Parts: sequence; C-alpha cells; structure tokens
Amino acid sequence: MLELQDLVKHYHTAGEETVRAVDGVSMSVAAGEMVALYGPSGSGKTTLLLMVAALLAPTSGKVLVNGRDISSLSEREASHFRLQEMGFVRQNFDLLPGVSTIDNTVLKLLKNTPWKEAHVRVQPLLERLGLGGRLTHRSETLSMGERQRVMIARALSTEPKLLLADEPTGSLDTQRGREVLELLTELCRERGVAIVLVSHDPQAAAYADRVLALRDGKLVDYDPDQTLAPIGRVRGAPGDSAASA
Amino acid sequence: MLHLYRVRLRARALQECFAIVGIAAGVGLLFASQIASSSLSSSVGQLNSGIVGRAKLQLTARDAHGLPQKLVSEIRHLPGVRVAAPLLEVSANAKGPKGSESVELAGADGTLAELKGALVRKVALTPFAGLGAIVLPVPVASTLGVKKFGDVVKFQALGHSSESALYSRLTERQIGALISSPIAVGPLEYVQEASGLKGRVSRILVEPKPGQTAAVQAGLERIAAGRYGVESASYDEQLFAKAAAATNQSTQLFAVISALVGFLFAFNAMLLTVPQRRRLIADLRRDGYTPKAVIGVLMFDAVVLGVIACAIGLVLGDELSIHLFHSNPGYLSSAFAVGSERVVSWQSIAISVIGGMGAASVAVLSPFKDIVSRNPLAAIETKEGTGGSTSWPLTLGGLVCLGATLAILLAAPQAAIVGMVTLIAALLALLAVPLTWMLAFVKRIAPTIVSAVPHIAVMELRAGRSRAIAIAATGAIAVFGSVSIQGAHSDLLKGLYNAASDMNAATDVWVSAAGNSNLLMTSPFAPTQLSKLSALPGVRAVRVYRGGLLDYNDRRIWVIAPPLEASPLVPPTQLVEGNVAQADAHLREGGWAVVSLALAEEHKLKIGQSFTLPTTNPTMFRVAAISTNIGWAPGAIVMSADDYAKASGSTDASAYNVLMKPGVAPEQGVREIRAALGPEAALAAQTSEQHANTLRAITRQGLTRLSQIATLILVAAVMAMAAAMGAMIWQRRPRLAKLKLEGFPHRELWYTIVLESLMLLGVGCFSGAVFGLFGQQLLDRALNIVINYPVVSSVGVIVALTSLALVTASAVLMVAIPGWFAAKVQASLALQD
Repeated sequence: MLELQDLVKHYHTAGEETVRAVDGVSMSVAAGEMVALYGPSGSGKTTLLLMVAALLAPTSGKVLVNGRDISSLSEREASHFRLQEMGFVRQNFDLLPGVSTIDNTVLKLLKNTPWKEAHVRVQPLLERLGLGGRLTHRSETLSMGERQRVMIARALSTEPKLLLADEPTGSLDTQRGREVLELLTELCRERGVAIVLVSHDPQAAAYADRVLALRDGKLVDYDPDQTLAPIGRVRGAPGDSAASA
Repeated sequence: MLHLYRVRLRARALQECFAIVGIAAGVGLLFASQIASSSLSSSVGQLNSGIVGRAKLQLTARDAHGLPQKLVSEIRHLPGVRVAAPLLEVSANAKGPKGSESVELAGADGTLAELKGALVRKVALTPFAGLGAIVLPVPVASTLGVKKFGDVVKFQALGHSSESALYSRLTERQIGALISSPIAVGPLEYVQEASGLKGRVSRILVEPKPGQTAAVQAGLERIAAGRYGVESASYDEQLFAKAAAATNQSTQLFAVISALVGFLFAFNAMLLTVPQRRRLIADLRRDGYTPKAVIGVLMFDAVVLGVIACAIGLVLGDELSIHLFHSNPGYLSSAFAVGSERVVSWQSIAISVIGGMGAASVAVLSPFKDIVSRNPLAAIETKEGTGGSTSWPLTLGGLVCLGATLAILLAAPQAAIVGMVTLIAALLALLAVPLTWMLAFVKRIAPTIVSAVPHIAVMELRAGRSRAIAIAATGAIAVFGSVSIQGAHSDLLKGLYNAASDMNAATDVWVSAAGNSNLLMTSPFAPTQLSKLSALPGVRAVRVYRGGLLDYNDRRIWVIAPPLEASPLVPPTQLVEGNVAQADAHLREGGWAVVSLALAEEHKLKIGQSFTLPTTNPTMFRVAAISTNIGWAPGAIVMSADDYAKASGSTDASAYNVLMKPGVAPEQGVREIRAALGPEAALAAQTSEQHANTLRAITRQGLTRLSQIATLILVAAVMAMAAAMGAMIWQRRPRLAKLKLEGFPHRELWYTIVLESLMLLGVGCFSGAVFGLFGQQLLDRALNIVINYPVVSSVGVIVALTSLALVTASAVLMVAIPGWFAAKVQASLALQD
C-alpha cells in the first residue's frame, strides 16, 4: 500500500549547514497493517509524515502509494490525494466549534458528495464509533475521547486506504487513549486501511503490528529500554516472534 | 509590569500596531465630528463676547432699522448703570482692490472699549472717530487687498455706498480667535452714515454696577416700553442656538454614529489581540497571579494602547477637521456673523479620549469572566461558538427599542435623537436574528449544492459568532447612518428647493441691497429708485417687496412681505394647514399673516386666532394659515408688504420685484437695470432664476458637511470591516491549514472566505439599510414637525441600495486580497502547533 524508497529530506540552514531531517528511510506498510513510528523530538517524524502526506517534496527518494509516486504530484493533485485517498488524525482536535458531530464528520465528503448523502454515509461509521447518540451535539459539548473519535470518523469518512495518525492519543488519559487506539486498529483492519502511527507514547506503539524507530532522520532498531517501557505487548519489537512472521 | 509589557510587545508588535491604528481611526472620526459640531456655535459666541465684554444687559432693536441713539444718555442716567455703550451692526458688502467679502460692519464709540471686550480692548476708537476710518482683522484685510493706513475700502450697506480708509489691521495677537470673524469696526457716526441710519443704533450694551442688575433691567424695561427688547448680553448666542438647532442636532447625531463606528472599529481591532491576551491571562493565573493583578497588567496594556492611539487619533481628527469638515454656516450667515474659525474645545478632546480609552479598556477586559474564574486556565479553555441560536433577552430588548422608536416616530418626533439612539440599539440587538436567518437559509440550500464551500462558510460563521456580529454591526451602523442621513438630507433639499421656487415665483428680476449676506432680502433701503426703474424700456412693473429679520422671543424669525400685486401672496407649496386661496385673500385684506408651525405651536395659535407681533410698532395679526418654516430654521411669517410697512414704521423696501414686458428676457432686464443704477450702486440686480439657484446652492453648501461626514463614516466602516475581516481571516490561517491538510485546495478555501465575507457584510449592511429607511422617516418627521422644515418625505430606496451595494462590494473586494494569501497557507502549519 505505502512504500518509501530511500527517502531523503535535507534542509540548508542560514549558516550553510545541511540538516538531514530524513536520511535514507525505506519502509513499507501493507493494507490493513499498522506501523508505529517511534522516535524522540527532532528525530524527523513530522518531516517524514509531511512527505507521506504530499505536503513536502523529498530531496530524493520516492513515496509510493499503491505504486504511484505521490511526491511528484501537483498541488491540485496532492489536495485531491489527501481528500480522497488519505486520512489524517492528530492529537489536536481540529473540530469546528459550534458545529454538530455529524457536520464535523462530513466535512471532507462534502467536496464531492451531496449533503444528505454524506450524512447518510457517515451515520453507520459514527454509530460504530459509539457516537450514534451524539450526532447533533456541538463539538464543545463532547468529551475529549468523543472528539478524537469524531476526528477518526472524519478521517475515515472518504474511505481512504492510508491513514496517518500523529500522536492520536496525546491529549487523552490512559483509558480513553486505549479505547481510541482499539477502535482505530479494529476499523482499519476491517477496512484494509494502512496506518502510519507517529507517537512517542509506548502505549500507542503497543497496538501496532510493527514498531519502527527513527533517530536523527534514520530508521534504527527499536529499543524499548531506551524509552519509556511500553505497556502491553509490542509487536514488531526486537525479540518479538510476531515481528518476523 | 513595564518589563512584562516590553517582552509581550516584541511577540505581538503587529497586532498591537493594528489595534492602535483601529482605535486612532475611531478617535479621529469622533474628534473631527465634535470639532465640526462645536465650531459654528463657538464662533458666534466668541464674536459676541468679544464685542459685549463685561456687559450683562442690552437694549435691542427688533429689526434692521435700529433704535434711537438718544436712548443711550437716558440709560446712562439710570441708577446702577456703570457703562452704556451704543453699537450699530449692519450687514455690509466690503470691497477692496483685490476682492470683496460680506462683513458685519460694527459702529461704536469709545465707551465700547470700557466693556473690555476682546475685539475692542486694544483698539482705540476715539482717535480716528473723525476720520471715518475702520479696522479690519488681518484675514478680511488680506481678502480685500488693503494693507496700510489710508487704503480705501468701499462698503455697500442697506442700499448705501460709501468709502472708508483703513485705520489698522487687527492681528491674532490682539484679538485671538476672533481673527477669523468677518467683521469691520468703525466709528459709530461713520457706520450710521454709511448705512443711512443716522441717529440709530442696533443695541445699547449695559454693564450694571455690582448688585444693580435687577434695578437696571427694570429701568431698561421702562425705557423700552415694549418697542425694543431688553435681553441678556448673550442674546445673540441664544438666537443663533435656536437658528442652528437643526444643524447642531444633525451633527450631534453624526457624532453619536461616528462614536459608535469608531468604537466598533477600535473594538474590532482590539479583538485581534484577544487570543494572545487569553493565553497571557492563563499563563499569569497559572503562575499564581491574582485576578486583581491580572486586571492590573491588562489595564496597563489598555492605557499604553489607548494613550498612543488617542494621541494619533487626535492629530488625525484635527487634520480631518481642517481639510474635510469645513464649518459652513450656509444661509445662517444671512442673519448672524459666523466666523470660519475652527474651535477645538476641551470637551471635544475629552469626549474623544474617553471614547478611545473606553474602547481599549472594554476590549482588553473582554475575557473578564475568565480572569475572575476559579479555573486559572479558563481563558484558554473557553471556546467561542454559541452555534446558531439567538439570545432571546437580547432579541426582546431589541424589539422593545424598536417599539420605543416607533412610539417616538408617531407621538414624540421632538425626541428624534433619542429615537435614533433607540433605533441603533434595536439594530445592534436584533442583528443576530437576520444573521441566524441567513445562516439557516444558506444551510437549507447548501445541501442542493455539491460543494463544501457553503457548508464551511456557515460553520465558520457559527463558530466565530461574537466577532461575526461585531463586524456585521460595523457595516450595519455605517449603512444605517448613511441611508438615514442621506435620505433625510435629500428629502430636506427637495423641500427647500420648492421653497426657493415659491419665493421667486412672483418676479422676473430682484433688485436688492448688494452683498452675499442679503440672500433672504432682509436689508432695508429707501425706495428712491422706483421711478427710474419703472421708466426702463423693458420693464412692465416695479413692485416694492418688504421683509426682514425680527427677534421674537428667542427666535430671529424671517418676515416675508411680498407686494399686494404678487400672486399668490402665500407660498403655495409651504402650507401645512389652511387653504391657499383663502389665506391669499386674507393677506390682501390686511391684518392677517401666515405663521410657521413652530411659532404657532409656541404661541398656541390656530387659524383665525390673533397675536401681537413685537415689531417696532407692535401690531396685531390674525392667523390666515400655518406654513412650514420656508427653509429658515427659527421660523417665518408671511404678510403683505403694506402690513409690514405699518408694523415696522418704515416704508423702506427690502427689494424691488421687477416684472419684464412680454418678450423681454429677465437677463436683458438685469442688464438694463444695472446700466440704469450705475457701477457704484449699492443695489444689485439678479434674475429670479439666479436668486433661486443661489438659494439652492447655499442650502446645499450648508448641508454639505452632513454628506461629507456620512461618506467618511462609510469609508471608515468599509476599512474597519475589511480590516477586521482580513485580520480575522489571517488569524484563522492555522484552521485553514488544517482544512488544507484534510485536502481542501487553495481556491476552494478562498471561495469559502469570500462567501463568508459576503454573507456577513451583506446581512450587516442590509439590516443597516432597512433600519436606515426607518431612521430616514424619523428624521423627516422631526425636521418637518419639530423644526418645521419643508421636507418632501420619501423612502430613499435608491440611496439605501447604493450604500448597501457600495459598502458590501468594497469591503468584500478588500477582504478578497488578504483572503487569497491566507488561503495559500502551508498545510504543514497545521502540524506545528
């Protein structure tokens, strides 16, 4: 589904120094698979994510989505790609204040779908996310967990094949974070959505099929001891037999 | 606190600068309109007090013929009188080598200087009494082109021509602000001779000894015996206040509207800094600052912003008043010596500064509830967005205000200013209703459109409702002000044009005392040229028209006295009660007069009832009909020329009505008359069409300031709305970036911004236009019923549509540019927070 081929992004600072934000990253994510990208601040996670979302052109290398190189898309094509083929979930809830749950969810769909049809289409998804009874509630009346679920619903509303999740549990307590991650993984597996989960929360990484570590722009071996101890089972971590399966 | 402010200022210098510009523009607008409104009255007041000095009382003549000078010695002999100074004031046309100017020619003797008035304090009148020389303020002397002692100035006053030598020029150092007054001062004997009023004076100024005022007043009443007025020395100011009431009320109304637009401008600008301030409040509260300390920090912000902005605003307002808002007395200069000086009072400065500081404080403390909240982070946790609901208490309040305005319109038009304020309050309180309707309407039709644009626009407007209403309110008030004032202005002009046509209907050519100040044909002159003019080949008939200005209580009323041969005698379009033919017949009988409504109401007069007019020979008249004020704010009375002659005790004419023979054009008649009168004549001839046009032009000029201010308010509102919308959109870039991250392209986001602006400004301006039409009716009724102007009421739909379209289109166009750039925001910005 998603394949990064020797992806490089260099920046030149004012002092002519070259910063290697992403330095030769190659990886792939299959449909229905969740890959956690784990790394400290400044490791290049956000730059990588921007390139995958066709928001930043790589210095070299390719970003292939279903075999198509999205790094060479025009602005218009890139917008279309993000709108139709990709979903984005972040820790900051980008919900419009004063607007209902269902209206916040259909936002992306409205570009190409009549309003009524869009409403009909997202209702099962919202019910699946446990928001069936909150359809007309305004965003500011929702709990943090509910808001994150609305964001997931919006991201999945166009039935994308790729979902980028940037610290999706960063604003939630442990219990709510766990619920959201469970839902996210279940839904994506059901729908065959490839997920790239960027986080430095070990709990989030624990839900991934594979965990990749990023340090100074390069993929390195994931070492949970150098970070906070992951909670629960970590698949894809060194020593985990499932990772090599 | 200062250190904290400097640190914060570095981080948000641009927003603070914008807020300063916003408040400064508001203060400037308010200050300029304040100066404009106070300058005319202050100018008359300054000139009067510059002449009367310490005098407390005066004996005044009721018309231009004056009172006998011999009464001066009688008054001087009254017990308790310290000084009694005779003064003769006549409207004159002064001519010099370079040009001419209408001036008040004042004649006085040395006793006037004893009153220590600023104008004559430093002018020794006695030494040049025998020379017939005059003194002029420097600007008047410059206009005429006279500089040194002995330079000749010609005067045309009350049909007389005379020459005088310049004695000296009065400098600003000598007479201060009076330097701009249109006045010429000469010895009493000379002015009496120059105006043909030998042995007459206009008023005798009296300074009683301490504690003797009441006794002196009683003595003056005895001498006056009902033929003259006994008034306070500031009587001219009272008369002017009455005459300028309409102009002043209009300007006051503008000042209120300017203040509101200015306040909203400033408030919108300050809202730009609210997000930063909310974060500051949360940071300070988290660090343990008490709410009181936080308020202190914010008030420091408000003071710094307010002081800088007020200083800039005052300079801006001052410049506006110099270059744009010229005080134009218009037709009032026919009856009062109105100067051109700009008077900047401390009250104008105080009102403007209070407005600016108030806007800064209110906007800075807008998150007050969060400052005093127990939760230190309330300021950043509070979300705007109250959805599409309407506040019912506010709506109810708006409806009550609307009801109150309707009641004022129907039952108490004299409270029009209060009515305009309640109407503005209703507009502001009810603005949320059309905005909600508009959002509901767009939401209803949006499902039929396959595009996210209308949906996002509606969602965004619902999300930022408070600010949306503040922006819409700016446009609403500006369009409201423009539509109501321009509409009423246009209706008033139509009525005044009709009055000008009526006045000129009975003659082909006017021959009257020369000078711009004789617009209303009120300067009397001896009709010695009657036979000469009648003998001219093109002339069919010459009739004596009489008229004048008469001080009746606190009104300087206009008496119109056409010759009996004129038909009709009464101005047909100006009657509000009574029948034209019947009134005309009564006037011809004699002893009847047409009285304007305000006068009739003041004296509780109805058609057929009698009243005594305080002319030189107090005369009883019966009311033949009731009219408008015929364009003269204090009121008018129409009678026959014969009746006026009896009442004033003089057969002087105020003008000749010259009728030309069939086939002789009025222009040709004017040429014949000018040739017959000679080049040095003190009488001037003009066709009735020329006179009507002059009256119309003066009327337009007098009301120009209203149009100027209305236009400036519109321009300011467009800028305020565009700036507020632009800033709002610029601040929303992170949210736009998030939408971009979701896949919305640049162009679609831009369409959203434009649609959002169009809806917001459209609703605001449309509401303003509808309420403006209501305001127009209120002002029309007030002008008609209270001030009694000849208003031709209409519904100014064209004005409303033009203002609505202009403001909305300009503001949307101005918003579209920053909107385009804001929509170009990088989506990566969404990942940076």
